[in-house]
Amino acid sequence: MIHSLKRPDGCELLLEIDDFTNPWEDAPWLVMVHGFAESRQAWRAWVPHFARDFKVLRLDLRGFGESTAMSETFPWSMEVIMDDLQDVVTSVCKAPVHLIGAKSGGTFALEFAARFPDLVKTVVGVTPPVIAAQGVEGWIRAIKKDGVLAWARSTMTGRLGSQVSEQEIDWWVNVIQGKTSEPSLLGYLSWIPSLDIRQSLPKILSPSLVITTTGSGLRSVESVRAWHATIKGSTLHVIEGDAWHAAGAYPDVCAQIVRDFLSLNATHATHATHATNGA
Amino acid sequence: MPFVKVSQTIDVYYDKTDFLDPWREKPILILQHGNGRSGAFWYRWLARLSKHFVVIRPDMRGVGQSGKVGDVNTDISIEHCVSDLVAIIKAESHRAVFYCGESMGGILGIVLASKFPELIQKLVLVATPVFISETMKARYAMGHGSRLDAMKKMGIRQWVLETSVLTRFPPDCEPALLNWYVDEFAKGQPEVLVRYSELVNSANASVFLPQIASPTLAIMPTQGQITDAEQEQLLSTLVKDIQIEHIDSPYHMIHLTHHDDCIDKVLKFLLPT
Repeated sequence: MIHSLKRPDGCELLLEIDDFTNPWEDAPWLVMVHGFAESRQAWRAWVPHFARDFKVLRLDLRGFGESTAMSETFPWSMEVIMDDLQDVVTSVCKAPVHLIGAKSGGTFALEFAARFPDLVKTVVGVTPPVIAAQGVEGWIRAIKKDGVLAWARSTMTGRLGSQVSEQEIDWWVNVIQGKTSEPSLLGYLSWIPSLDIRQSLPKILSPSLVITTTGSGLRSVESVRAWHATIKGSTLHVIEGDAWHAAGAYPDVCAQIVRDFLSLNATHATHATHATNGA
Repeated sequence: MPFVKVSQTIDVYYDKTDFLDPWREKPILILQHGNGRSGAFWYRWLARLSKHFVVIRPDMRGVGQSGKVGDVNTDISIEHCVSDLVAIIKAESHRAVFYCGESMGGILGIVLASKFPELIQKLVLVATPVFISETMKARYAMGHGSRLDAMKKMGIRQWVLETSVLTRFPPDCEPALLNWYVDEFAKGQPEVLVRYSELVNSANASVFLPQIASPTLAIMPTQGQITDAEQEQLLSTLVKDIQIEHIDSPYHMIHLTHHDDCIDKVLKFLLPT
């Protein structure tokens, strides 16, 4: 079911809810936040894994997908995105949620959990850039010079890994990233280099899980371990693979890891077989 | 969500659940509800099946989110329901689809597969009677002259509650499921529900069984009150390529009470080995 949530500045956020839970039960919410230059469509393979047990809400962040596009000069900030997410959780879900984000959506999910502990039951970040990736200036130059489609295609193998098929690349390029509004994308990219949420991580109190890959071209496992160690009681799961966008490249593997995490955290336990920080 | 216009005045609704990778081939599975229900009654099947198929759930004309009909006696017939399914399949696919129907939805599947073999790749019948036995007709009359009399005199809600306890749900079923089923069923327009009951009461799909060309799976409750041994014998004798599997229950709503067992059998039958 598609919903639209109008924000005070006129921006309309597009939300899609898939709910196959028992109609008479008040099932928990699972909110999915996509990353840069994507939309809720990035989560499509995840939904069947969760929608029998959770009301699954996927949103298009402002500027992306079918939500209102932002101008190139829009003053992006963490506050703007946190306010949007807070509105979604309090106005639509009307209850604390399980929150999942991928790529920069994972960064937002972790930051949201740090800021709003009462609104978050558990939080999952899939390959989140806790500190902005290097090379963003190069992306801006590439997009301005050759356009979104060419930039998306040139970066897609790194994003989805060496095993990705041509057909899959075409879909992500043409349907997901290539359809992103260029002003939204350029404005967002000019803000993103300042992203650094390391100070927020120790404030995360809810059970948390971070998923990363062994062969990401953007960040090493050791660099992830360094910041992950500051999240109290958090679980880190490392997937074999060379994609930096594990949620998009390995959706079924990631979804199963998250299902295991969520089933254990009904009692606030953490997965004993994974590396878990001392609580 | 989509509608197909099947006449000047009638629109038929179907829900489409598609989470498959857009860059791969996407097989389609139709889930057709039975008498008086709607596509909403399949909700327990969607998560598992939508990992493998685009799942389409039509609401028969006049029920669920489908548009209202005019004269129920002229606008609702088995032939109409089958032609609605043909319209939906042609709107969504250029090739044969998988079809799974429960109870009367299975009867429609039998007619559809028989008359339009090019549209059905494989057929699944869940708790599907070939016809309604005299014993069941008497039981559903609930002490009144007929099932239709009972529905009219008792009121839809009371009739469906009492017949559900009798034939559809086991005594140890979740009470909330039974209550939800009754409430959801009773949302239908009484004259539409009575008309569908009239159709299913008088239906006999025997004549269509020999024409089914597609591989067929029938999932039946053991000691089914509506799908008895005589009917299973008809299916196994008259359908060329059929396997019959059982769910251990004497109650009819196995697609709701034993959904995971049913889905296991459906996936084993439909997915390539």
